[in-house]
Amino acid sequence: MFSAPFMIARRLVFRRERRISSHLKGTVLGISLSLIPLVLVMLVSSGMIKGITARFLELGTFHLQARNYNQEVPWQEAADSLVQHPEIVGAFPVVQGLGMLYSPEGRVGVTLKAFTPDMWENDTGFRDFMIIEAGDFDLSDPDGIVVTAGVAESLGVEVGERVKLLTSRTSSSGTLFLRPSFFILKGICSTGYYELDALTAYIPYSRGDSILRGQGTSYIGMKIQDPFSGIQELKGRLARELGTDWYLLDWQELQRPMYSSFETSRNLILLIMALIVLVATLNISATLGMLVLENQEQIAILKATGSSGFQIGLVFIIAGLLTGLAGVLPGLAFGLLLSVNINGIIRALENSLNFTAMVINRLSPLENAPVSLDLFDSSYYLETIPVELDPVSLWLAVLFTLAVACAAAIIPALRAASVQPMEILRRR
Amino acid sequence: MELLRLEGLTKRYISGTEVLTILDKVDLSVPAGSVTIFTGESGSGKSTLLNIIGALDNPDSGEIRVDGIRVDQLAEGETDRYRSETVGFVFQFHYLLEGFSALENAMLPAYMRGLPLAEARERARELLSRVGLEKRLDHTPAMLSGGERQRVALARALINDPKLLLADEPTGNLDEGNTLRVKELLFSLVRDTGKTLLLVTHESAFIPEGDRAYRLHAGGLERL
Repeated sequence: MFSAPFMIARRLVFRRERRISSHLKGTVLGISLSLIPLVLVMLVSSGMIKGITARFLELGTFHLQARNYNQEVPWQEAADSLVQHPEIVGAFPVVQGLGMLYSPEGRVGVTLKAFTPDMWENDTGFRDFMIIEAGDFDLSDPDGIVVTAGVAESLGVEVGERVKLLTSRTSSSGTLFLRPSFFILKGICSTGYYELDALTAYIPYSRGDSILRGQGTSYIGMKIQDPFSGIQELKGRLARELGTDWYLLDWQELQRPMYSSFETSRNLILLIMALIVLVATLNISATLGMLVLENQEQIAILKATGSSGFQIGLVFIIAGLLTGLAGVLPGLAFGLLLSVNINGIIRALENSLNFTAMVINRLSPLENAPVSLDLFDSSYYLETIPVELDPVSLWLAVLFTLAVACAAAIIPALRAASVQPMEILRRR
Repeated sequence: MELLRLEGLTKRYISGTEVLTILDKVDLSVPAGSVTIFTGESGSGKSTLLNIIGALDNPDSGEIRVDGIRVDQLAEGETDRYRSETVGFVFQFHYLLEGFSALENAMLPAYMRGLPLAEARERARELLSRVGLEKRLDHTPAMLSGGERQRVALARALINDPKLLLADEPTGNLDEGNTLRVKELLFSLVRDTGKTLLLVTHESAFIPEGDRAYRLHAGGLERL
């Protein structure tokens, strides 16, 4: 039923010389061009969201946190017990609080995270995402501190230098007083994401427990095998096992506004891009309409020789599908090509813009000319744009375009199907 | 055995305020395997008669029976099947599909009818060989002469092995040499395959070749 209409449709779209019909070239180009940004946004935004989410999961919130209404519990023992569960790959006691770091060069408010010294060795996720820029992530020395690059830069300190930490504490009488502590900088690290990099300092658990007691939050940070599926089931089971003194928070609860904001922004951008693709693809209707008009005699003769209106209509639906496909394939290929090379392309663009700006500045110096231009400031995003090749999303984009192409072909197909052969043949 | 019967076939056209009766209660009986030639002045209704028999046009009244089928009462889907299976058309203009080879043009009605591609190709190749185009199978209409195009159209008309072949001025656009060639081919093919041919022509040279000839005049048929 489809083979003969397919053969005619293929010849209508791709002429005998295997070139696209001149009428359809513009439409095909439009679909391709509109699909490129859609693919680019889809892959890059997915990569960005996953990249940021993964960093927050591994470096920020853990996958699951077990907290207790009573702060005076044997945290290490509880962590050792939790890690016995096969789904839990790591459980670490953590104390988290706020403090102010001082150096002779500057001061900066930080989120303090007190980890056990074995954390670096035992948490592969943490190790994978944390980049050590100087020194080591060494919390074995009770006086050791590791800070993120943003903190080190604000303080103007290097590994081996001394920093002062000021924390607050409330006495039993309710008086707030400040407590200074001194640390030796053991390492400078980077997460690759501004929000995590800017304001975090890591101190040994023993010191953190003492400094932040009563002021900070203690919990057991857990890493599980698959944080994206089955976490709710595990959470429920652990809650039953741990008892009512404990409560559990998963990563989605801890950063829900951030993840929702990412997803909403991504979906909005994708919707706009999809509308552009929709408009470009609907153009098929107009061009196929032209093709129907141009091929009225051919349609008439096909009908005169016994082809049904349904078969003729099918020819144009398939022609729409093939036109869509002709646009989708290069659009998808270019979109993918641009996506996987997006970091290099941005760097090349930055370099060429900066070179041009430098040449212009040399020829006619401007007073407030910027030193260098960053198209994509890594301070606020990830240092490199991760690209997430999501086959499901790509298939959905392809299917969406092809479905619109078919739908756009319906009106020309109906027009072709209703051609009265006698009316057309009589004209000649 | 009778293949075609027309009874009281009437067709009128409205031109402004004037009603033109092109066919006025035409009766005709055509035996199977015969060649019937229709001639007449331009506008006398020759083509209209063929188009109505071929279910491309509808009569205002009257009955048309082809091989037992009431053509004037066919529903939409039945019309397609009738045009595909029972009749074959050859027009004055070839109406070949541009961009398709001679072989593809000839095979398309069979392929559209649901014949497997290989079988449709083979049948088209055989017919094109019979009309002397075995070396022009891959040529597009633009690469063929007028006579060759009309021979491809003839092969296309016969591809579904119709019982009734309707030829409307098939040589009207051809030079003398090609007219002779197409005429010979048409008659030899029809005679060899036992088809029934209804031929509309201005060419008086065709008349002796037919089993019977009619002149259409004032809406009626005059036997010649």
